[in-house]
Amino acid sequence: MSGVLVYSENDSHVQTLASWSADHADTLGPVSVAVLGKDAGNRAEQHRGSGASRVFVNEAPGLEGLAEDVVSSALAQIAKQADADLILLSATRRGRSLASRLAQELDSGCVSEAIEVGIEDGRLITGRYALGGNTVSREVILTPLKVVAVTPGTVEGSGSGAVEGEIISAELSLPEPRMMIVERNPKPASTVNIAESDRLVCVGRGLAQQEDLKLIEDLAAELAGEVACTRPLSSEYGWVSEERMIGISGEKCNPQLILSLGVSGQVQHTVGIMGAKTIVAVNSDPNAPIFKLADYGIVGDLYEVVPALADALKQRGAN
Amino acid sequence: MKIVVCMKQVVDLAQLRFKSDGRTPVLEGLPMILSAFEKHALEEAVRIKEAQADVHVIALSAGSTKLKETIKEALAIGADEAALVIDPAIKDTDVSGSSRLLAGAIEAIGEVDLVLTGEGSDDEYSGQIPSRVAARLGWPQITTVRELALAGEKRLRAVRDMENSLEVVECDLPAVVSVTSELNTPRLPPLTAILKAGRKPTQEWTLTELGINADEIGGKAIQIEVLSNLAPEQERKNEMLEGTLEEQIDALLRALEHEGVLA
Ligand SMILES: Cc1cc2nc3c(=O)[nH]c(=O)nc-3n(C[C@H](O)[C@H](O)[C@H](O)COP(=O)(O)OP(=O)(O)OC[C@H]3O[C@@H](n4cnc5c(N)ncnc54)[C@H](O)[C@@H]3O)c2cc1C
Ligand SMILES: Nc1ncnc2c1ncn2[C@@H]1O[C@H](COP(=O)(O)O)[C@@H](O)[C@H]1O
Repeated sequence: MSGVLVYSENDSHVQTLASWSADHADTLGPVSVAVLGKDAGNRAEQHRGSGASRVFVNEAPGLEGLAEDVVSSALAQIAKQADADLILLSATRRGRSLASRLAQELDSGCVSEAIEVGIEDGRLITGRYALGGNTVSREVILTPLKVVAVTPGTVEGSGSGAVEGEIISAELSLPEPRMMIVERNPKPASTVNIAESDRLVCVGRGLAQQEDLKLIEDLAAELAGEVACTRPLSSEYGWVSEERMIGISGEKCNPQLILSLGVSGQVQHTVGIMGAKTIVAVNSDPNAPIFKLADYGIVGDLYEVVPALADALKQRGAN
Repeated sequence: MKIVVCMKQVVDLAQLRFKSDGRTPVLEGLPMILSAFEKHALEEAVRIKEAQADVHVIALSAGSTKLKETIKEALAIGADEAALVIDPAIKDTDVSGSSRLLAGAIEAIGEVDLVLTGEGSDDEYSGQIPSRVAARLGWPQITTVRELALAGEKRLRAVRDMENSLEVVECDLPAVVSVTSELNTPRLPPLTAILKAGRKPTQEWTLTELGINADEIGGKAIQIEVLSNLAPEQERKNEMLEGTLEEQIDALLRALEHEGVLA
């Protein structure tokens, strides 16, 4: 291939993608990075050593709001200047939205949320969830230009491909932004990153009321783990903060242990726990699909099992 | 004002089964339903219609002949009209082709002010359609919206849900907006409305009627080759713990201890 262009609004995602690309420069070609918008010149410095041979910079005010139509116009032009035929983005919400816009502008094939990226026989192979998370579709993009947004955490770079990149100020002719940002309000700082927890206690609609979360929190404390939940408990009821929600539209977790309590096991949820080493399920319905995915299952009422388990763990700790 | 809600017909994945290898999905014979996120888009459109005069809501879908039944739910919930693109060629197309069909239909409907979609469809969940349709129409796109307000006929204000921030944005109409499930709680259609839904007008196009050539959405226009589409391999112990609660917990703790997954 002729070259890779890496872009994300998240600088650490850029570094990972650039470093991974540099590891595969034999097949993918030289690596370029685009840094756009506010303070791009300064931010570009940190990408010089990440594996990119060229860092393209543009600070046009129109790029500041990161409107997808303007950013995709910028990336299409830079890809041309860099002679890149693969554009790698990170699959944040903004990144997915941008990837598809850019792909359409370039009339190209796009994988908007790749959970696997690899090279086989000189071809780029991607994997993504399909059929609502039931399957993984492994694909090859057939168009000359390819756009892939990679789920954060999917690839790692060795750092050994690092070169001292040249900073280039990109000449761009950009459209006027039509979407205006009125304000950007940070969400309350995240208190937890369940994607990186070793032990999770995940509760679903088997929980009858918010007050009963105390039981779940107590068990999590005994396990030295974190509380997690299914979507209804966060998005619908607002009982648990969204950052603790697991699934296709939430976090994907790889803990050592997850206890799944009163969770039916719908695939949109369970895609987020596939990476767990050990899965324990407690459900009052012996036919709940979660048992098919579990290593250990207890058919029972979580209101009986959870306090008993917490007690047993406490005693274990005391011994 | 005219609002088009893009609604996809998908197989009911809750009923998905696998072949005896446990990995190959069997799609034949599954019932078709409307994908879930779009119901939030439709609910929003219907609420806008209820709140102000002269709003016309059109449910747009591209798919198989079964759509005629499936789309009745959208009409029952409150869409004024259905617009369907039905053509045998559609089953072999990809997101690029689907976006071509939807953009073509939106142009055929004409004078559309706002296109609403889900943030992702139940089956693909690629989120590519809203961006691709917007790009094809040359309109701005505002994706993953959890709050939406119209500021007069020609402008909208929305709150986008990004991972770490909420962004308040504004843009002129026409625009394409994709919505998340936090936006609202979709209503269930009353039974009587479902019965009456068949009487609402439905426009229907084939590819040719939209002026689209089958080559544009199939054959060489296909952008993605699927190598395999299988359930991930799963090796789980599937051990059901028996006995009294005390015995079950005892056995569980011993097993977890043995696996070294406790703190
Ligand atoms: C496009 C799309 C994306 C989605 N994304 C996500 C996602 O990212 N994450 C997510 O979680 N969901 C997601 N969903 C929703 C998902 O399909 C399920 O609806 C959801 O995961 C179900 O949550 P649940 O298991 O808590 O509830 P339910 O399915 O209602 O299950 C509750 C379970 O609790 C058991 N139970 C009840 N009482 C007790 C008791 N006392 N003791 C023990 N067990 C009990 C019941 O037997 C039942 O199995 C998505 C859906 C769609 C369509
Ligand atoms: N064939 C279709 N017909 C109508 N709307 C669609 C179709 N495919 C996708 N959409 C819309 O685009 C959104 C995102 O779908 P996707 O890009 O497949 O994840 C869905 O929530 C629908 O609103």
